[in-house]
Amino acid sequence: MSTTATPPTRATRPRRPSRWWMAALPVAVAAMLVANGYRVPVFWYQSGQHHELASGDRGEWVRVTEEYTDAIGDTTRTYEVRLAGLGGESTAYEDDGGDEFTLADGMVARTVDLDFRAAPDQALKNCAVTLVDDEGRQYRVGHISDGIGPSVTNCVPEETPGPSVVIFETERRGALPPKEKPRPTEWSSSPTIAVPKDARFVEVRISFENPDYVTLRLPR
Amino acid sequence: MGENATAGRGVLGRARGFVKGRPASQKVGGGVAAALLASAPFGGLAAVPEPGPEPIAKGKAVMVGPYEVVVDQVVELPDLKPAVSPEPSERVVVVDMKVTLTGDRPEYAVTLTKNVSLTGGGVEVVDGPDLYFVEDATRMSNINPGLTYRLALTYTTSGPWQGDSVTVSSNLVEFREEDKQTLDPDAWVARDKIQSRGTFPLVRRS
Amino acid sequence: MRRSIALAAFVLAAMGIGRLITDHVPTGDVADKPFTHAGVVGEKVALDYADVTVTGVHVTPTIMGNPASAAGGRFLVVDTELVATREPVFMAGFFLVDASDHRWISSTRGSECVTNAKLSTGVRHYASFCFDVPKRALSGARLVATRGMWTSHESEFRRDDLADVDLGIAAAEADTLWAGTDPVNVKESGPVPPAEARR
Repeated sequence: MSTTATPPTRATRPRRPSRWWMAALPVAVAAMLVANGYRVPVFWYQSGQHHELASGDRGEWVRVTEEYTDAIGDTTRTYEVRLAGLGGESTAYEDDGGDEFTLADGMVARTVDLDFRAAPDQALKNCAVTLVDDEGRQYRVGHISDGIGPSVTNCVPEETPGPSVVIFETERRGALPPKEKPRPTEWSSSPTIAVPKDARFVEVRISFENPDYVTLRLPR
Repeated sequence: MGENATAGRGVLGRARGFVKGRPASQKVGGGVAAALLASAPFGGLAAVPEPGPEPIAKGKAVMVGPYEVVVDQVVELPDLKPAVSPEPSERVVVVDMKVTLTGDRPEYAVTLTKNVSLTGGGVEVVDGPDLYFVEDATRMSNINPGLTYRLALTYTTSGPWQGDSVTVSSNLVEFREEDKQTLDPDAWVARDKIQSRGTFPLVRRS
Repeated sequence: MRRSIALAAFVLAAMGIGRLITDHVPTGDVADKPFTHAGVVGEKVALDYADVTVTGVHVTPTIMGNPASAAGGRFLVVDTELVATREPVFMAGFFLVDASDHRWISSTRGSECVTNAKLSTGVRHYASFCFDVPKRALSGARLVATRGMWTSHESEFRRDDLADVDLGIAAAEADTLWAGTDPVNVKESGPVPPAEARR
């Protein structure tokens, strides 16, 4: 250390403590969060229903245009949907192989009556229909990881379901298997979902791909 | 001549003086280098040959990653029903072996199937390899440690095997606490290097 | 001079503290540890996303089927009932843990033996898991059930709810169970109760 007797020169003057790290610290923290941020879309946003495309009340037509990517590239599906209501209280249901079984534990198969309008070239097979009750519990049919209930034609007519999503580059969008008639431009479908008999439902969700969904509200 | 000798003496003398002036460690190093150079005509500078693959022989245990594998025979069949049913023009080549997973955790069978290959038949492998338990013809996709299974490692080939012998090779599969490619800890990682190789007579059955 | 000695001491102390923290504070446990809910055979274990009940445990060298499946050691068959409580759940992690905490993976070989379960909310699902294991895995074995599948690095079920069910096999029983030769008929997995199942 220099003594105070001699005036400090450039060489002997005590250096001020470095402070640049104080400014760098928030930058480093932000960089760390951004670098880890991929987990949010991958493990949360894209893995569930988190993006409401459109919504409407029972009896109201809701127009939906949804962007998705198939084997050829980016495309859209456009349709209109209307919730007519809920019905049915049967305990007969089917497993993923189409075999019938009887629901137990107070569960019943509730039908969700839906009306659709869409151009015949729109790919509307394999939709998932979810009933949400007033406790937030979700009952679903048609999703790839649902083990019971029909999977392909929940939102389309069984005999004329229309085109599938293109999974090979060589396919043509909107193409139908030979001998299959085109889907009408307006139709109704009534998918059934296994739910507790006493549950009170607040909404129906239609979803083709996570995270997108459409909400159709039921009156409370 | 005398002039040349004087010049030579002068060069040698200067070299001697230079060497004398070096510290002891440099003298030793120089000596070693000189000895190495002198051994060059006898192979002193030749690369050390890589140790060849470990032989695979009938009944002898070799390691393929965590798996201890004893190959008993290699058999060619028209089919291995009910497990493998190829086209009539195709054949099934089966490595009949006993497999024990060592260590204390389960592994997927691909760690084994992906790292054993057959060569020498002039045919293409069109399907497989797949792994079946010989006792009940069911497919193995994962294996628990400490059990010894007699397994059929099956290759569907494009046609009959040419020749009477099959060369069985296995890759080096290393345990990595941290795999830089997948960032997975504690993974078995296959290297592009043959660790064991052996030739077996092909047993033909119809 | 004193200043630089103090700085050196400070740096050494900081490194030392860092070392102590990484060595002795269980940061890995905190970051990775699942939430374990212990249970026994016949008792419902309530997880955040599903109820898990082990209803039966069998040890056999043979699982009936066409063809029948033979164990390399013995099949430990665990029958379960699973119910998703809040939303549909895909459970992919079902494995056996023995008395020395080693994990054993479920076999894909036995007829009707499954390795995962697709659960629809509120609908009881019946599933049997078959573990081909050596004798040492029997005594004190537990079934672990969770959503993430087994991987070598076990990161798939970090911070998730996990059922850990004691299968009630005492060390003294292991020999008798191992010696048994009766084949087991595993019931089809799904929403149909095993008593009504076709096979």
